Amino acid sequence: MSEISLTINGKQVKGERGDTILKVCERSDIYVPTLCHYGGVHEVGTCRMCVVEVQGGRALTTACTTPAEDGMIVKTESDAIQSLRRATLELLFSERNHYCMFCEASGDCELQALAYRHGMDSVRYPNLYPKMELDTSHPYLALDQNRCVLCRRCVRVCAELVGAHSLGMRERGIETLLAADGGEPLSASSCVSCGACVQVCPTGALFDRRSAYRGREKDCTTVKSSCPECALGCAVELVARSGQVLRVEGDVESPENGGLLCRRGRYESLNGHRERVLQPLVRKGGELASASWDEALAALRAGIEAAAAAGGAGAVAAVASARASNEALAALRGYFQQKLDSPNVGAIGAAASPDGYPAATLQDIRQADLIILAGEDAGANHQVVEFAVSQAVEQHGAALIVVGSAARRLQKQACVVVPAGSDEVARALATLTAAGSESLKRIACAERAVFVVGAPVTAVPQALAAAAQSARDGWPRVLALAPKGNSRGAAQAGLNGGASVAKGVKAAFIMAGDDTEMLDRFLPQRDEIGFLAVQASYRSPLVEMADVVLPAPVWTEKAGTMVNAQGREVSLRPAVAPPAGVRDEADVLAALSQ
Amino acid sequence: MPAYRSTVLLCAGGGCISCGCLPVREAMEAELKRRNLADEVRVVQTGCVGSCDLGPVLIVYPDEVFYQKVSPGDVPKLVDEHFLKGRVFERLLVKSAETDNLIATQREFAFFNKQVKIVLENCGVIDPENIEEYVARGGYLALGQVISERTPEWVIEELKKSGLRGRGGAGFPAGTKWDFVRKAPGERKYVVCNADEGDPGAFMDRSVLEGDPHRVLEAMAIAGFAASADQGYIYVRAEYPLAIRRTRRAIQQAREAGFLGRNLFESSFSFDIDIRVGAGAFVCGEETALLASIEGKRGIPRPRPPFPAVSGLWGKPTLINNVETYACIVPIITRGGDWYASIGTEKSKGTKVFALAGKIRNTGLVEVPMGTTLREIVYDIGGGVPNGRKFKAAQTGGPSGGCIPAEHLDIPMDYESLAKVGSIVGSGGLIIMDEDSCMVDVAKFFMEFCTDESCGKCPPCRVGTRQIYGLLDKITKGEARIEDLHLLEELCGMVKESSLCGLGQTAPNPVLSTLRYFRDEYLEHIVDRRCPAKVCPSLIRYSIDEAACTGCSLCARNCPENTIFKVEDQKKYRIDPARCVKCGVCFDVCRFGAVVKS
Amino acid sequence: MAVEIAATGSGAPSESQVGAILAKHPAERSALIPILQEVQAKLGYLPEEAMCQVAEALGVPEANVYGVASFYAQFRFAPIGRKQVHVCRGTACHVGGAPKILAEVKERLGIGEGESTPDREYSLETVACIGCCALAPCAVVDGKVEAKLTPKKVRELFQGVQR
Repeated sequence: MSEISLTINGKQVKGERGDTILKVCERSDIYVPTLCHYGGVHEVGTCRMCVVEVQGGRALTTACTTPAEDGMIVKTESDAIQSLRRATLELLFSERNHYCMFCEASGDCELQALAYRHGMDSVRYPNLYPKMELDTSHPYLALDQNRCVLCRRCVRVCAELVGAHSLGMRERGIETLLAADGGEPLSASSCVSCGACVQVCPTGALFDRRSAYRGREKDCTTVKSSCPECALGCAVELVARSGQVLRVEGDVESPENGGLLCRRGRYESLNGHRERVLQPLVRKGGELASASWDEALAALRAGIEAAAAAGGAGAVAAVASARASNEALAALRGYFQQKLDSPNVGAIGAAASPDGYPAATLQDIRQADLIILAGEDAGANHQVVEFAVSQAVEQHGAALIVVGSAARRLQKQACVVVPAGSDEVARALATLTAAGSESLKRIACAERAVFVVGAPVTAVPQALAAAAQSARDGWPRVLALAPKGNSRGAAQAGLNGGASVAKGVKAAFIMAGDDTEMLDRFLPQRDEIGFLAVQASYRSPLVEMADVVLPAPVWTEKAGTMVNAQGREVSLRPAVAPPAGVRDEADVLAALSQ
Repeated sequence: MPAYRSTVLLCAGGGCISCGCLPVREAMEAELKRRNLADEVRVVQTGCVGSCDLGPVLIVYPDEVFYQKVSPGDVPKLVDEHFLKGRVFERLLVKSAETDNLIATQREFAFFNKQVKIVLENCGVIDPENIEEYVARGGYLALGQVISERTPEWVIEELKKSGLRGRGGAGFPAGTKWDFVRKAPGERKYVVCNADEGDPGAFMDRSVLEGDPHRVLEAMAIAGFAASADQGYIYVRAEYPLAIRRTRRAIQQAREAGFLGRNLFESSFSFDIDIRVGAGAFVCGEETALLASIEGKRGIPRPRPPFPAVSGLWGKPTLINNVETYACIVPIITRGGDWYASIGTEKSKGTKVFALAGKIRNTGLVEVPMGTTLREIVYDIGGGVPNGRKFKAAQTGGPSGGCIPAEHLDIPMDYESLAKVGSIVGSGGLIIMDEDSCMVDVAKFFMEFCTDESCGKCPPCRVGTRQIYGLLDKITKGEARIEDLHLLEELCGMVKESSLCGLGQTAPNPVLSTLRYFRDEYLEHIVDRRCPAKVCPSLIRYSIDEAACTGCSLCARNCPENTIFKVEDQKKYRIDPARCVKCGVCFDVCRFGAVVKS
Repeated sequence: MAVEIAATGSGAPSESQVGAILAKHPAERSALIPILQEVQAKLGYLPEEAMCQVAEALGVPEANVYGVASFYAQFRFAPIGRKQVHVCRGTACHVGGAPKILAEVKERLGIGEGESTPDREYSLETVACIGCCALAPCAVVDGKVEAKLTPKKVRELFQGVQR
């Protein structure tokens, strides 16, 4: 890539060939106002805010779409430019309802900020806006067309980054409207509820229902953390105010998920009404009753150690969720493995990475020329992987081979589909690799092949891997899907991912934390386990049957580290303090070891 | 082919068909058969002759006798007189506007004899549904020669020499554009013909496709050869069903004759053409929107660069010209670029077809050398403004153009001169207006059009045109203040400067040019609350001059609101001004001039 | 432009009819508009199910099919009258009195632009320009160009129309 040099506002600046004028300005910290521009999706030059003057040019041109050329002389500010930008804003304000004081986005709105910045102090035209209905059909997000400036950021993100293509524009001219599918309410549309559109909306047209009207960004704190919903460990920003997490946003600075999140990460972990466990509970006289931490810990120690004394270390078990942080797992092991020498310490969802191949990142998937998806449906529990695959196929022309039960959407994009239930996947993979098969040939000529494998596939079949050997150095790469945020960390700690508590166990400690999926599986075994202690964030049937219950923080209240699917350590950081009476899991367990 | 004594060219352009020329043809053929003349006189159905207000039109060769407004009932008499008795049937001749003398032949008719036909040379002369007639006039010779004897560079050189500029509106030099596409890197390239003629008031592209479609196909194949493209698309408006049908048929015939398809003229060059029918969006006349539409998308323009010559259809280099531009190619190749450059002015070469309409005696298509004055077109060819009214302005370039007032009647019609007076050649719409046209109303009409046709992508066009329309509406209703006029001017300037595509950038032109020449008329609307042309309903009132009223009751019977009543004890009528909706029906129907507009 | 209405007249969306049209075209995006045009020619309008069927067959997102269909003036989403009236609002027609013609047509048919008469005999639309400027003002009624219209001619044209 060759360097070019431009004069912008009389200053000599550098750029790279292929840059737009806007890109060069960004590189050199020169402010150019934008509204429709959004990094990562194609430029449309719609909003006209970034108009600049290029010497020798016929007229003003949009910085976001005009390629920068060596020797170009550009002016980004002048009275004429300012007044055009102001006039454009004035027209936008006259088009629909932009009375800021009633808008959710007021204070955080890019349109409003531009209006202030450009001194747009009045609108001289009549307000044109027709009254448009709000679409509040969706459980997590809402669409207010009255606030929409038709910048199409949401449409482009939904199509190009998410690959859902649920949003589009309908009608034309002044009648133009944002629409989902054929004009359906959002809830009845093909929307995948990833919330990317909400995150990129510059105004209050698309907004998060939960956090609506609960504060501007400057009233909130924002903390970078990592999502524990699956092993991707997507980078998130937790937006909180007054001790409450208002919303989860994708961290746009992350090279991995780049601001994208899935339905589970962005919405499901915050929404839904679950009753928290707010203080330690101890069973007294057949009833669970509130207890102090000291009482509860004493009861826990007594129950566990009594079983160990009676039946040996084998009579004691500890099971964690692989959502638990490395620190919590270490403390668990410290007490149960090191101190009590129990052989029954495990973590549900622990999964080791397949040996022998470099781990594929989401970025690798987006850049791959061939993707082989084998096993579970990535679209169901790893939507962000599905987004990356879609992007690779649709935007960059990658080939896709699907074996197993992948989502319909990916099946449509695939050049080869071998449908298979989970018990048939191995056989299906074998047919794929039959000597001389079309797929094998494809794999052999791929330069950047990525295998995405999920349950029940745990490793890349030899034949496939061998076929991909002709690839460049460092390829093929493999992404093994895993169900929990710290599946890898748990496996690295030597904890096995088995689901049950071994026979003969008389006392068990279950460290569920905020994992709501794991508790139910112990219900059938409850009676065999004499003494049961649970460390959990939420009330549940198993909690009600426990002898000791320790309250646990949820992930947005926790600090710690996890190891993600690629083997990289990611951090959990607390956005809010846990409720009074709730203590960090690692601290509690460390106390037990002493 | 048997030798015929005479040929009857029957115009079957869109205009004549709607006037009923097809029954005339049937009557003619039946009559010739009945008189045993079928072997001697041949009837050929041609494309548009150009004189659309005179239809149905017949021209009898070899004498070039021009018959107008022929009805099936006239046919027996006409055959009797012309073909049996050998004399001209005078009742169907055109009368000269100045002298009242009868005009027997096309040559003597000022409407035709001042024209120079290059683009339209075959229109009205050949049967557009028969490829043999095109071939007989030298058709596809140019393509054959170019493929077997010339190089693409030679074609482009000739085109550059000709000085031909794109006829779609912007006037970009065609040779340069072809050269760009030729030099653009890329394996696959496309040639596109823009026949999405959407300017209200222009219909030359329709006439060329209806009257001489092979000329366009041949030119596109030559363009394919010059640009090394093997696929062409013609994008036609859905509103032109006849043009679509005839072009489809022409493509089929050309394929069968080996002028389209694989290995043309036994060379390695292959070229084929498909038709895409527009679905009703004016903005698709903008080249990037047109390409989006061919790709099956919303017809939304995108910023340039990259220009289609570099990245067009499916991202491949694409050559786009409009119908009239392509229609100039074959003559340039056959007769040479220098010959073409000898016609026209220094910077605007060749001829231009104008669609003459509005308040003018002879309407229709006229083709004149670039630089012909507006006066020549209006008075010599058009026969002037009828009904003793005065010429007020000529509107050129449709919704992207401007109005030229009487003081500029001597302006040469070419790109530079029109730009100087604030208008454009555009696609060639030329609407003549007399004192009965209100310039604010005309500006409002165009702005309404642009508002409806805005694609909605960028705010200046989407919202700006709507706000301009609102201001104009206020003015025509007599509700505006002088500040609104300033706001109007400011907004027009802004929309012009910051819109994304040509539609928005030119949308304010009709307002700006009428403001430039007819500012007083705007001021009268605003300050005096008066519409001098008596057009704007809110500013006029209808009344009945009782001295002139004969009491025939026609007005009262036609009034949609029943607001006209009989004055008691008198045979006179009167309008209730409070309930009058100012539809003007009474004014139109009164035969005694008793209804007065004031 | 003259739309041929399915023989049943009911315009009932038919999967097999749309299927037959789809079979004639390559399954690619660029065939979208021609396909929608043919579907409308067959069914008289674009029923939602037909658009979904086209979207599925071409692999084009439904939002885009709908976006395209609603962008172009030609497409309609409700059944139309058996005879269509297109009043030209081109420049020459405007100067020649098109607004009065349109008003008269509306008055005669008792419907507005984009509407159909209750008996579905007529539907009314305006068009940008039909290119018969020399015959202004004009309209296309049931596929036939009606030239040099006056309010009186309009009345005669629609004489006997039940409103």
